[in-house]
Amino acid sequence: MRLADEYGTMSEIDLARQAAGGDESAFAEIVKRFSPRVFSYSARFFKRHSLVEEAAQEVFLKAYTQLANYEGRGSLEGWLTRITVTTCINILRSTKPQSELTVSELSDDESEWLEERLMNAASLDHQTHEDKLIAADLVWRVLETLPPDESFLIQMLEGEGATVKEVARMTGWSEAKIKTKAFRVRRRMRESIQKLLNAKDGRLRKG
Amino acid sequence: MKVVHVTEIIDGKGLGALADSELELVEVHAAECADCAEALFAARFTQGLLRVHAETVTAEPPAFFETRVLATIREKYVERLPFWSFRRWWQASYGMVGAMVLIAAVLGMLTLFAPAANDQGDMSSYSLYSTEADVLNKRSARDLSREQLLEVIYSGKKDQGKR
Ligand SMILES: [Zn+2]
Repeated sequence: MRLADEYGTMSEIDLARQAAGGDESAFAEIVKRFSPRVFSYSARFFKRHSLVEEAAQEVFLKAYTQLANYEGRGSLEGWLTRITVTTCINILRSTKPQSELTVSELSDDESEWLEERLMNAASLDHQTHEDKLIAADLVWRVLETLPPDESFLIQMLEGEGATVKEVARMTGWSEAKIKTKAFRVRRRMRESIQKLLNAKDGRLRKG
Repeated sequence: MKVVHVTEIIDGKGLGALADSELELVEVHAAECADCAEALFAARFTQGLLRVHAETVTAEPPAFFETRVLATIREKYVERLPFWSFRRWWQASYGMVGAMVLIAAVLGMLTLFAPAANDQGDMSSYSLYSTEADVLNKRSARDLSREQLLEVIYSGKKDQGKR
């Protein structure tokens, strides 16, 4: 029986090897070490925390059954990130994306927030925490109208400022595929927001 | 002259990744073109929204998450391992190995205490039984009539022939 401390200092490859050989404590250490990252990526796909947790569980179950395939080429963290992205996309693939968001579907908060941004030359800097939450909620609703892979892609490229190369490493997709998808999703997202802004702007002018 | 709009450039790389010369081209065109100005405004707004969204998206694993994962693994995989799983057979072999050890021990005891079978002669004396022993076991040969005795002997030979 090994001491818990020993697992805490063990290298990724040793942990993976031990866990693949049936050492439960080694696998528990893998979950402990990498679950913050798995949660952080799953959170790009699901708004509700309970769904994020379910997806993270699924990721580690998959990792457990596939540990023998991890041969130490690349980091364990990278390997788990790719499993996370694939698992979340597969979970969401069976659910139909929401239909396009129209201005009439906006909540009062979202509506008010948009009007304010339009009157203040759309500045998104120096917002209160509450403002940020309203904005984030609005983004979620637009993201839910996109296929899951495209939603993840635009969050990484535009939200996190990741490069195409970095996304390729996270997802295992080719750079050419990412560029094609990126163009499509940028246009879709920009047009959705543009429609909302136009509808709001038109109403503001009329009012 | 044909007007070349800049939405392809705006959506192509993302505003953050545009070279200075590309950005200048977009801005100069947008100053003259209402459609592209609107697209540029929406693209900047979208980018700002996505950055705000990224700041707010966080999720932390709950305490003892690894314990929950292990419990699910035990429930799902360890207790219901697939037929071809090595570990399933390893677990199943515990019982089998125990049974084999017990059988080996019993056989060992028998070898120690049972009389040794030395040669073929001894063995044949044990196999004498069939006909004669049948008769002797049933009742004394003297109690049987000649026909009965012949009957017993005859049927015993028939049985032997069958074996
Ligand atoms: Zn134009």
